[in-house]
Amino acid sequence: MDIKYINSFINGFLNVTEMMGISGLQRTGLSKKAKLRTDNDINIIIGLVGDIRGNVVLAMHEATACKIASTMMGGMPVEKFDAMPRSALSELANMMAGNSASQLEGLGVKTNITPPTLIHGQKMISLISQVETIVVTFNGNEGQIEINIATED
Amino acid sequence: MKGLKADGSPYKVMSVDDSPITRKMIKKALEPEGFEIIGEAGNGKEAVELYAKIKPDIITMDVTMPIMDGLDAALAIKKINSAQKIIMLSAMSDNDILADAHARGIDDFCSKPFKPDEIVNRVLEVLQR
Amino acid sequence: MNLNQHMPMFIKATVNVFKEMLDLKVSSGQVENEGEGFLSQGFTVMVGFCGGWRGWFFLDMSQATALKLTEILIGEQYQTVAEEEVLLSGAEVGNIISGNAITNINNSQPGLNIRLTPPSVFAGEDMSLFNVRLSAHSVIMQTEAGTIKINVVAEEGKG
Repeated sequence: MDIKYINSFINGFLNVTEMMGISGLQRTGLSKKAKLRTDNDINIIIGLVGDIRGNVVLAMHEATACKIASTMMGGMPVEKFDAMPRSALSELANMMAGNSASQLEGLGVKTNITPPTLIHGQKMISLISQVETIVVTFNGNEGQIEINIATED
Repeated sequence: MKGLKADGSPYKVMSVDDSPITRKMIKKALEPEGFEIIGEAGNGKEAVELYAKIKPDIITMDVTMPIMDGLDAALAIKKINSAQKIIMLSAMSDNDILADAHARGIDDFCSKPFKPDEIVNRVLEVLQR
Repeated sequence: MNLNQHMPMFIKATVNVFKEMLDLKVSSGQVENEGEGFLSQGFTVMVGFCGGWRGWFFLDMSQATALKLTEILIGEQYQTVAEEEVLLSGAEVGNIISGNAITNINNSQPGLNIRLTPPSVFAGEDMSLFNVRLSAHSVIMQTEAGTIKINVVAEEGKG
């Protein structure tokens, strides 16, 4: 995938997290990944259709997700990953995708996004692409967050 | 066996689909009838590149594929050889998609899901035209 | 999406694909309102869509059922869903069901122009899937290979 497009997703993520008060995020890595994964217990997937077609998955551990939800709610403690943090994280993914889509449109790439689906489980394996997946990792005060970009050019 | 020509030689097939499962299913359907799968590709770009090297009697081509889709690949191949027989395979074949294909001169479709004898018969139908 | 109007097309597509591709008879239950989320049986295929409607189609089953379907499709036995062929088989079945259903939906209402994302598959334990603020319509169906569930969430798209 063109680096310009990858940057749209990275910038979309950083813009939105900044807006939500999730500061201090540093990009720690960018790599191509084998198609199957087994790490994170919270995965939020958004589908893309249009000039770019594919899936983008925001992934992290439950503890990180709770801390992010807490930050988004102004520091309110979040002990369990239940309805409220689910809603907050889904909204974060949705806004990130929307922001990324706007940036892509600025590059002349028109794409529509699906609503987010949040998947919460243990010992998960996923297949989100039949081509390659690009993984961008971030580290911040709340923990590590991964953006998986699986799009067909 | 339906996949053999009058002289006993096999019809040569190039199979293009981004799902290796579908490519396996096509093989399983065609090979027992004597068809020979001489090449496979996972996207339209690979298909066009492969076409420069092999001479299939017919190409089975998935519509929705990454990098270059099936309709674009079919068009590119027909520019190289307008007589090349191509049959499009698709799970999505609404009226807009069929109209788009028709506008590009592509009218042979086989919709997914297909039973083994369905794909055999559709392929033969196009080959024997 | 008028899910009341469109769920039958998803049901019909599921029954047809299971019959044609897998040689499995499917008996269908009632359409239920699922609410915001559902507990997976262990293996869930998802296909997103955008256009006049935007949302997701889910095909859910146990890991044992996924292994059986793979064996039927490919003719080889696999031990675990961690094998790529099992995930790919699930993806292809989900892809074809949703493709068929959306084709009929698009043809029934010109201008809808719904298009699909590539399929994705998630397998795991204690796995739940949520679509906040959207309600889902689901149908439980029985097959000889196990119980399957289809689930559809949708809202009006921006075209």
